[in-house]
Amino acid sequence: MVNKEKLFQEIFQANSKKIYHLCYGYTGDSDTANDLMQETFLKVWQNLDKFRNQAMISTWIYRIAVNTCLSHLRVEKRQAKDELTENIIESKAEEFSEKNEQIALLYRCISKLEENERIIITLVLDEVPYPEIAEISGISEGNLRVKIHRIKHKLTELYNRYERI
Amino acid sequence: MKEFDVLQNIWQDQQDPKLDQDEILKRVKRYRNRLANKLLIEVLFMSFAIAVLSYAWYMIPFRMWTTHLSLLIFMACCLFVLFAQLSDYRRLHAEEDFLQKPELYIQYLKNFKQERHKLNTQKYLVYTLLLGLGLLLFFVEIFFVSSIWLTIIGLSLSVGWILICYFWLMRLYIRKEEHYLNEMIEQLERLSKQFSE
Repeated sequence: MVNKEKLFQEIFQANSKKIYHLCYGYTGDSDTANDLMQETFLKVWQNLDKFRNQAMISTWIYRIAVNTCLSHLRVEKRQAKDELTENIIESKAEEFSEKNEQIALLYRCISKLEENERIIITLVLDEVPYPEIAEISGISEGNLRVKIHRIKHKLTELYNRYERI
Repeated sequence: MKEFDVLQNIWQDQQDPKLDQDEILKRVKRYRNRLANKLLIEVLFMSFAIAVLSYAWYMIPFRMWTTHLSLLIFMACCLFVLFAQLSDYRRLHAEEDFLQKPELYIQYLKNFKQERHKLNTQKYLVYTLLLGLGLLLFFVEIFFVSSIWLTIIGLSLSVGWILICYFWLMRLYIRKEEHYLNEMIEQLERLSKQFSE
């Protein structure tokens, strides 16, 4: 059990930031992203024994996160307060700065994309290698490259349009 | 006019979220304990029902074969519910299919939906019929040892409750569960289509 906890902590440390970005990019909402990230890591914990000796653990975790995000229903009520509202992310007053504004705008633009595009672009922005993104999304690398090119263009256009407003 | 590289820099510049891994580990443990407790309560509840039935069967000198048969049917029903709940519960929470690719996960959900539908309709019908048969058989002896009115009231209340469960509560439950599963499948299929376009 101690080893499992240690392994889980290592995995959490190595992947939580990107998983949070993925969930945030998908939902456009930090609280929901927090819930989804927690759900993802609960599933990671539950299935850790089955994946102990695999090489690409990050791909596996991304896939869990993607399925968790995709399965997240808007109609689904948030679980009881004591379950999910204790934010894993320490909340603190957001400093007002140009940088924060730009980040908020970027998330807002990502939320305007289609669901699959949100997932792909957050992985691209987090510099996940293309073969891994292809593996996670279940499409060929060639197809993925075309998609990424299109999404990058779409996101850039959205950002520039919103920035002018 | 910003290029994508600039957006990537903005993204990279965002502050790292401060993540409390001890808290998530605590939650994992809480979640695991809650699952274990839920499982335990279900098992205890059904075991208790079986124990009560066995005790009544052993202690009360029933005279008619119909009563013995009815008790046997009740116990079989309890065991069926116990195993059905346990197997679905364990399957739902094993969630191995989260490890699979999206299309496999959709197939898993479709199969799961089919099996749940079969359990909630066909199997539940058999369960209800058996329970009704058990009650009828049980009330044969009640009829001979007590008044006709007591038999009628007891039988009416029991059958009434079974009918409410079958025609109202169970249908509500099925509708809710299928709505949830359908929405999940629909959303995943839409996304799968988007990925393959």
